[in-house]
Amino acid sequence: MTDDHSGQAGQRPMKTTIDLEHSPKQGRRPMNFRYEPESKPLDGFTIKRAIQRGGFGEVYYALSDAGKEVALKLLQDNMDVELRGIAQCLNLKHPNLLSIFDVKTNAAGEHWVVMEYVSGQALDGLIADNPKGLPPEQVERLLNGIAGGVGYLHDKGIVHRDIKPANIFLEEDTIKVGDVGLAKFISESRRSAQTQSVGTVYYMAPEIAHGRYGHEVDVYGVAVMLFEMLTGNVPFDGESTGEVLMKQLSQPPDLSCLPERLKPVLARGLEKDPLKRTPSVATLAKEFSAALANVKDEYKAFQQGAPVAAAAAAPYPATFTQQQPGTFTREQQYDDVEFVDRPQRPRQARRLSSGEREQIVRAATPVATFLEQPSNWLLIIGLGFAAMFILPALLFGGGIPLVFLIVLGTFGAGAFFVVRAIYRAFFIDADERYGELRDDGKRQPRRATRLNSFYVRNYSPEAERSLSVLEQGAESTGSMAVAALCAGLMAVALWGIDAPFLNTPAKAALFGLVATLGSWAAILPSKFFEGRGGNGVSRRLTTGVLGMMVGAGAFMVDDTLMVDLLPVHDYGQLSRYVADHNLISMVTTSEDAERLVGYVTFFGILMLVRRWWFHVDSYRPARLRVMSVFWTMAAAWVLSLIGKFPYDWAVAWAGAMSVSAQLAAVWVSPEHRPGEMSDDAAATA
Amino acid sequence: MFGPLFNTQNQSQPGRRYMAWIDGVGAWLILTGETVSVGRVTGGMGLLAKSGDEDEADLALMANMSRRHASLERVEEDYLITPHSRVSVYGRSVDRQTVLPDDCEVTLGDSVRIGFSMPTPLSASARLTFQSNHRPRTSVDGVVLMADTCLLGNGPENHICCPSWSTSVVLARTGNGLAARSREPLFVDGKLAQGLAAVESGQVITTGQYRFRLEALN
Repeated sequence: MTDDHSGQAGQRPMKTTIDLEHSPKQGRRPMNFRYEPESKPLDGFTIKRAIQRGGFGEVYYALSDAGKEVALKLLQDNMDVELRGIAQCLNLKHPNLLSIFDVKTNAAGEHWVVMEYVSGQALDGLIADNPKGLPPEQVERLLNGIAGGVGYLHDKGIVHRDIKPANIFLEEDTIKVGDVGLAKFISESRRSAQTQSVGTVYYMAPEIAHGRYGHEVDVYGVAVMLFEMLTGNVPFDGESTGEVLMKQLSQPPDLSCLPERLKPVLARGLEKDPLKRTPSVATLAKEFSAALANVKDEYKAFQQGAPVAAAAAAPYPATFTQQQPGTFTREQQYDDVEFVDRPQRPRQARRLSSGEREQIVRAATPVATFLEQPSNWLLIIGLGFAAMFILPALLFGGGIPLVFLIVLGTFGAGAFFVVRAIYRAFFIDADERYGELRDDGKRQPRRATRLNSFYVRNYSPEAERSLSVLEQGAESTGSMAVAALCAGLMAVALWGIDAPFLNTPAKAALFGLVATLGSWAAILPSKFFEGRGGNGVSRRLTTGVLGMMVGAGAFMVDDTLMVDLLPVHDYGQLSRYVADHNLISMVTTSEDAERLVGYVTFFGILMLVRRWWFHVDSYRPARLRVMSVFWTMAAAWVLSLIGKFPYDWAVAWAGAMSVSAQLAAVWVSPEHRPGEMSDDAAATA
Repeated sequence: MFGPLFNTQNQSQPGRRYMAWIDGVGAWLILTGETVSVGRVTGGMGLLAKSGDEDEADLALMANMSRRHASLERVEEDYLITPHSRVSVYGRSVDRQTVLPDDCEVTLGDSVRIGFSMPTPLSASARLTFQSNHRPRTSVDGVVLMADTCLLGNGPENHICCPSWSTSVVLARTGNGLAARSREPLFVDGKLAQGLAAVESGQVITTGQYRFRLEALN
């Protein structure tokens, strides 16, 4: 009796379909069945459909008159063997054995076995669905179930003798050993009495060739299935029955693809000499579980930061090298051993450190290699500068002020980072692929659990967490490039829609450049504050000082582009002091000094009064919060009233700075925060 | 029975339920209704065909769930799920009518997990599979929400995947029943059928050595 998936036998490599009594060439079993649906060959049962044709008869799915599902097996050939075996097993009861309800003979003289119907998959179907092998916890569970059923048979003095995946049935979480029809009473005196070979060659112990049918043949069969569950392949395969048999008799199994700790378990189970073989299926299951636990311990130690050299020297990870490149399936699945609490979930790639990522990217393309060398960036930037010096000189007969060049150069650097970011985006695949095999467990997937209010409350910008300087640097430079892009686009857009205050290209340039500087002043310090626990005052003071520098920069750009944006306004003692002491070389007149002071105070105060660090923190509530943009603009408007700063510029600048800083700054969506926090916990532990 | 074929416009008709008993493959429930209700089995025990109260859900499962837990509605090429009780899609709770994405897992109540997929873009029919071993009274391997056609054959693009088959059969809706067609010679109750052959409840369809029987329920 088997289930629906046995139909897959035809598709699989022929191993499950080769019985000795069938030709190995026979790919598909004939599907012609003696009985039609709805026929009633046995009183009280209606056949609904055929399930399978096995070596020993046809199996049908039938319903009793009351609606009980049963599998009806019609015995054809080998009837005597089958009947004798079944008679012994009729009253055996074990949760891991498929129940036989009765054996009946109908008026036509046909023998029918009424069996429990199992709706789930048979093990051969499960193995076919997992051609690279099953996860180890599942193998352990299956093996324990099989060992339970087969061990029970052995305890009752019965040898199954037809152990194969097609005879192991899975229903919900129960494993049932079926088809005990071939089972044979063990009798010490009759050990070699049976002359007819039965079973399926792949699972057939070598001593069967000599007619020995001790319970060791079942141990061997279970060991072969264990190997197949782990790797997806049988240990001995061949083109013909004869070849497989020869290998079973003479060739030692190739266990090189197994983890080191499991090798002795399988080697003993697959031992040719029945006397040296693992003595019982229960022992086999016990040894496997113990070895698996060792693998777990070894792996746990490996994951908890045992010295890399020791880990590399340990035989277990060394099995990587013994496989084809790219086939890390076994180890990949053993990674799961560590995560027994969530066995079903496929392991996700951990995030690579930037160093590892760089190695991968460097290995990938020469262009990327070029870009990844810091000296080459300098080359690019230097060439850019030179071009900017030389081109204007050639075209206009004069140079461009240094400040402008610095700003442009910074843009150039930003553009470089954008290009590099795009390059890296292309290697996200490499990240994931390599992430899986480099599983040293220090970082769990960033991906995580479900969003709920708890997380939203607890993963706010105030939350303390550790970020490496490298990460902060990488994140802030990337963000700065994006911020520059955003601010530039906004300037172009405002100019494009003919905003009344932005009526010349110079003004648009001034707007974009200063908005960029402003957003950088927000992003840069906040990145370094991030995760360090809150002290808002020092953070605001820092951004305030940077804001003053932005103001100075704004003045310089204004002066260079000759926009003369600010109306002349007497700021009193301060501006006169600046002018008199010639603090900045570009300040040549008292009007200049007044403009400088106007810019510096406006940007300084704007950066002081708003919580910029909060707005750009990666744990802020939303990537872009319109309300914070609004309040920043409102603050700017109030400042413009006090400081005689043109209100339209003030409000637009504040808005542009806020929007581009928020859009550009790294944002971790709330559902990813717990995962990231636990990374940090693991990293600091 | 021999009315116009492919008369799918006739949608006022309530959906019908068929069981396809396929040799070597399994039992598949085919539901032709535009709207299909899912819920707990009700009433007495017995055959799927005979039992259950009048108002039992179209797809009634032996499971700890409401008698009418959710309904699935086909709107052109999409399927909408309407939760009447706790339903989640991809683990996310759903509280109003929602479009089911292809290849998703729907959780009904605490433990019933049903896979939803639309195996082929050629047909608006969908397939439900039982992921959590909660099934109707008798073993059913899967459910086809049949729009106009239902494909049986070897390969993932079929609604009913028959791994051992080397041919394929198309079931199509006709005015008030189903019809079958295959590239290979197709026999209905042993008689060679030409083209699209109408199939009545209880008839056995055979192509080559593959055989199944269609049984109308209710």
